[in-house]
Amino acid sequence: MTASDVQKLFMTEAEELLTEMEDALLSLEADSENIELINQLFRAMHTIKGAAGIFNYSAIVDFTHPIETSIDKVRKNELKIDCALIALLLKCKDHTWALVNAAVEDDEAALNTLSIQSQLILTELGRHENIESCFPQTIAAEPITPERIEGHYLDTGHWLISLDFRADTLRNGLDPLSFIRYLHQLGQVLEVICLSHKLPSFEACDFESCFLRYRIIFAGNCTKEQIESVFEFAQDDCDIQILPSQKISESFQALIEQLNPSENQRLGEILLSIGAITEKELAKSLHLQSDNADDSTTKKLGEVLIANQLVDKPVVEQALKKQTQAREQAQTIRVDSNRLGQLINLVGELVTASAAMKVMVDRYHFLDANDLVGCVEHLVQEIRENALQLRMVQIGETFSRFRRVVRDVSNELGKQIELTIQGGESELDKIVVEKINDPLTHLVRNALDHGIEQPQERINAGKSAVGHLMLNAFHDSGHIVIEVTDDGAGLNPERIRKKAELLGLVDVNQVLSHAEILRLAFEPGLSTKEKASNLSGRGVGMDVVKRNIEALRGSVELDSELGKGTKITITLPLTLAIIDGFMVGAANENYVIPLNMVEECVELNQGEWHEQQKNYISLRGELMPFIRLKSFFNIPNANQYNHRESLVVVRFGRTKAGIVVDKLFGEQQTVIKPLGKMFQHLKGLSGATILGTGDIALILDVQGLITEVSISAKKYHHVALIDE
Amino acid sequence: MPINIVLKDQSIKVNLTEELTIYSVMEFRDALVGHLQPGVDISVDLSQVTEVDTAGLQWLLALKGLNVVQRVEFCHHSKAVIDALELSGLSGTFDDTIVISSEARV
Repeated sequence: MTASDVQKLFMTEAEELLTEMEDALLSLEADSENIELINQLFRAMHTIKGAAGIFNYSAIVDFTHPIETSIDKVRKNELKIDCALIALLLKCKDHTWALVNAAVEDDEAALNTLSIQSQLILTELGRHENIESCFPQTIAAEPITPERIEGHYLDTGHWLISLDFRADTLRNGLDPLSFIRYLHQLGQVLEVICLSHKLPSFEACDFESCFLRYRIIFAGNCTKEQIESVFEFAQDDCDIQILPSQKISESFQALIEQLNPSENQRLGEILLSIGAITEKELAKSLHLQSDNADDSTTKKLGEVLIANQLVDKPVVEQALKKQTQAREQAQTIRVDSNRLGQLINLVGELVTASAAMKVMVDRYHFLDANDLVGCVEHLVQEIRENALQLRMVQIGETFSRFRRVVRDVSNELGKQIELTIQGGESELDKIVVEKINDPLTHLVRNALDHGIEQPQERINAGKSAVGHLMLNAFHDSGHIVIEVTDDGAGLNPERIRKKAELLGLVDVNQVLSHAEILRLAFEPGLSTKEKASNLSGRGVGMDVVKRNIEALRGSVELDSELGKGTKITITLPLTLAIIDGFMVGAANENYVIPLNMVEECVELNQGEWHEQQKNYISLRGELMPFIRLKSFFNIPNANQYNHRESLVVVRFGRTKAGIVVDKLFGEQQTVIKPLGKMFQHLKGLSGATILGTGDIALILDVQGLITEVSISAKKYHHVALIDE
Repeated sequence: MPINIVLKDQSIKVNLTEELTIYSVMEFRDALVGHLQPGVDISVDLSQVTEVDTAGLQWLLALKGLNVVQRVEFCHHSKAVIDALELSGLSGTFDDTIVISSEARV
């Protein structure tokens, strides 16, 4: 490792720590009591200080040391954390990052300027502390511990067994007394409490039904499983709960602590392995969990276990902590992204080679090898999926960066804005994530600046003073959909239209639908905001956003209602490297359509295409534009009609279109090879792939084709109207 | 009949023989229900009870619950009765009225 490698590592680490610190700070705004968050702050500053010391970056050390001291005061309850301090610490965080950058790049001049700023910020921090320390310290009341609440029985290693028998117990030939009698043999029954409040009056009582409930305090050198087995026959007639006392609960926690975490151990497995729950309880809880699965708020297993009092909360928390630890350990492999790229390239070659092998086997009829080929194909597909999975990252991290943007911008503009993040766990290719960041930032800033109005304006418009911005992500047919929604002013279609007319984008007489007018917002030079701010409004942006997204084979749609808000939907492919393709043939050429865009294939009746005038086809009453691939690509002999053509219906977002081809070959794993620079402007093609036979198939850019088709269909429609 | 009811002035003497279990409790209840009136003392002799199960226990508890409107008293608890009460942690509830019968003492 060279010196610069180490420095790079320092920078990545500093960046991670600072991001963590920012997250912690923002969370502290809502939850200022959370000691873990404060610890995070401390850790970030402390680690950066230490690392900077190794490199002799005195500017960083000098700056971070006083901050660390301040945070330590917060930890010791000597300093209260409030909005002012959080704002100040955010500033410190930004400044630290600037210092780290300057130090690593060895930029003397920048460091000097930054050092002056350091002093200013530290003075501010010092002042804040002095004001704060004038206030009397609140002395935390002695916490009420569980031991103090529970009776003396429950802190010395006993079990509390609760037996709620159902009415039919006695009629089913069971006698609760016999269970208690049996329990005496297993250990010491310290106390039995019989609850008889459900018992009806003597005259009315059906004594053959069971009304009694029991609470038993039991001590015995046995496991929960053993106790449960006592009541095995009563399973169906009795709600049994076996609760550990404080001491047992603690011993469970200690046991969990000693566990060797293995990566994917589930919560239930962990608890089972230490005997905190029994298999039956686990099965029952899982069942309960899946029973309620259709509720929008599915409970986590831990919650179910706690709610049914099967396990104590601290035990579950401890187990969860261990689980997270194990996961984190499993997550912290750093791999050079180039190596991943290499792996994926190799997998791509493997896919091609395996396809070639299949072709060979088919050609020479090696019947014996068929199974083997199937097996290899299956494996290759799994390897492919796993390799691509390696590059998948959750979008949540990208989203949460906007918390800071929203906070800063709303402060700057004097607006009150609340950010909601949904679907942060949706995954997509790291490269896509990186490239989507800029367009997304732009859209968010747009929404903050133009979308959401000033509080007073909002109140006047009958809306709540607090504006809402929502970032949402979800998967849809091989794509990830990202939505940026605000409840602000919305776009004014008239203004957009006027501006577009001014720019000569549309004719004054042209009739445009609402959606078409909104789409104009993506044209270059269009910004309806009268006043350009430093955030947005210069009219360069939406077109760039659109271009960037389209470069990723994605699309962007805009929906807006004046006064109600705006919703921007971005659709992106999950990955850029290998896709499942659907191969078709037109004339003697092969084409690949991304499989997840194919809706259906229909045999085309001879009569239908003969009415060549039409660019629309009616499929079961649904009208959609279509193209014939042969004509579109001007393949020679295209006029010799094949009598057995097929129509492939493709869908992109809400639009459907038909592609008429000669042959359908079926599914095919496809490694996307980008086209050379010379061919990148070609319409309707997004890449090429090498087939097993060594031939080349072109990958259709369905989205581009659909646009092209709709336009030409419309044009034709216009001409036809004029002709009449 | 395993239940003997003797009426005398304003009091009932009940003597249970054999078992006090799910097989007999309803019968015992029905036999006794007709005699229940406020102000009538009830005294139950448990010395002959050979077996008590949860249903029997409920019978005892419910009968004791009548204590609010009329005096109910249990006497001469047999070993079976004491066992059942102890198992259920109810011996305390019947504490003041437990008089160990001669049979149980042996």
